[in-house]
Amino acid sequence: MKNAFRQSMGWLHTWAGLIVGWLLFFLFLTGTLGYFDTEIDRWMQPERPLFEAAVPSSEILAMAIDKLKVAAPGADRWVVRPPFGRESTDLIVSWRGASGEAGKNGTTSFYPSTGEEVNYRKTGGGQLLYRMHYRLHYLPAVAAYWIVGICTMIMFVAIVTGVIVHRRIFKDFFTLRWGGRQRSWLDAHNVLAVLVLPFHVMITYSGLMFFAYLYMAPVMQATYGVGEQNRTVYFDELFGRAPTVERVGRLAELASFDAIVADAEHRAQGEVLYVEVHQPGDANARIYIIAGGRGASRYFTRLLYNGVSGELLQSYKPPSAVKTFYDIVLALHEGLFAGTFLRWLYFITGLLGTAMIGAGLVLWTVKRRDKIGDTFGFNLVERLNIATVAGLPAAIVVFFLANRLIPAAMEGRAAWEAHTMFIAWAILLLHALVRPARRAWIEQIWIAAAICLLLPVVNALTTDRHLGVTLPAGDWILAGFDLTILAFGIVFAATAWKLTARRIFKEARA
Amino acid sequence: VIVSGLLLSVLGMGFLALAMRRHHRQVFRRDPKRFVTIAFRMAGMSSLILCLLACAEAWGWPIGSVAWFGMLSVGALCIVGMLAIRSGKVA
Repeated sequence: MKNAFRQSMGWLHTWAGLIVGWLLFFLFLTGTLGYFDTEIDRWMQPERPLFEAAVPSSEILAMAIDKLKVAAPGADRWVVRPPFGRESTDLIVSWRGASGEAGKNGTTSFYPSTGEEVNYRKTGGGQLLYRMHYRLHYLPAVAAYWIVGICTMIMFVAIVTGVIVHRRIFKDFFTLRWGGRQRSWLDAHNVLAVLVLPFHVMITYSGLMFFAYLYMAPVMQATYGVGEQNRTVYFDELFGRAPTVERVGRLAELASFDAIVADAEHRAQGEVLYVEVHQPGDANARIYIIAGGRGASRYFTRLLYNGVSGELLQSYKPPSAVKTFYDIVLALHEGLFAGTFLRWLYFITGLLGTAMIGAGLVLWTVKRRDKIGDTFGFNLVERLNIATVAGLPAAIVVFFLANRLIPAAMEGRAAWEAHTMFIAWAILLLHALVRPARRAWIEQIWIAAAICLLLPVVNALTTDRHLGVTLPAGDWILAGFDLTILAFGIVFAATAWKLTARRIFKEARA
Repeated sequence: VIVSGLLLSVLGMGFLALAMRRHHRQVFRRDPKRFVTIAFRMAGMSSLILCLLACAEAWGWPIGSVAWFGMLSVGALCIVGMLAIRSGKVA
């Protein structure tokens, strides 16, 4: 009875894992890179100045309001996102319903240190990679969310069944045996899964929570009713959006920001992160401010001010316990609170998760090579494995290469960066399909190694943000990117070299 | 504090591994005595708890506990790597 249960769980684990394994590998790898999304952004925008002097937030806000007065007079709403922390280095202003020359609605970004409009090349940057891990690419958003959600659910199933199937979690806790091919892959898959199990469970569970309101829409509709209007009510309540106000038609000068910012920062014990000005220039103007520090939960103080007198009108309630739980779960997933060291831990555990999936996929083929090694299904799985495990990392580095090689002024270059990545991936898939499997593995890992090692060189040839400049300047974000890619290149090269050596040895013996 | 936390995690996982018969034999080539096993286990546990305290010291409890899990994973991985390399050489 017990064995039958374990066997059926094993069956479920094998096939559930296989079906979504390739996509999960993609989600995990792009998601892991997402922990360094802004750092990657920075690297993909080499035009940005090396160092930017910090400017006090009241000065930045004053600058933003000046820009908005010129660009978007008569707007219904101005939105200001000052730079903060590692997540955003630009000052971003946008407006809705303006009557100025800059258009009705619009967004502009500025360097906070100089007030100049940003002028870096158009790029999807790290944000694009990050977005791919829940939004995929080339697909409508809602379809992508559903696909990712279903895969995540299956991942959860695979985790639970995996724990059941794995009989000796504690006994084999540290076990990684060389030699036996199947034994080693199984050990690797187990060790990677067990050691990082808290991360796997957390990331999968929280991943599901992100779009819970999409997957569980009927629950929401049961309370709030169906239809667009009720949806808006729900989201206003959930995310605490500022209510809109009407114009009264009398002109009035906007209140000075200095006092309001000082008050908000005092109340929140943190920086101003977000400002909305409703009906600027009107007597009924409102200023809505979100401010706060970065804790484990994403709890921010939200304040509403009278836009003319500067008097505080409302301080929003702290969120409910349920919402706080939701926020904490999401915060755990994103790790936005993480400093440099913790961010690296996230990155490493993410890579381990990716490797765990890769090892699982390879294990499937190793286990079955003797029995069904020449069937069509087996070949398909093996080729897809090669193109995913070895090909995808290579394709992502091609994305970075494209960032340097596509002319900075080209029309639609941001889209072409992504196209290049997927074209490269398609070529690698084709390559995996036509070459003998064993060769294809070795060749693709060599390709990945070559591209990784090439990237810093290309970077040095095309920009002046290469290691020769960034290392002496102590810019660890830029230098860290190049060094990390180099390290990956070395790991790939070592792997490929070892595989090649083993192959030659085998051929010599045969 | 962060570095010492990481070291504590590696150390603690190492002790725990040595408390297990298989890995003890791998390293010392003989079966562990009963009290040795218990001593290693105690040492391992207390290192890991110290590691948690170090994390809490460095980041405060909420974030520190998250960091602790990360440190445990990385520490255990180091030990797995070391044991694997060692057994690779022996075999």
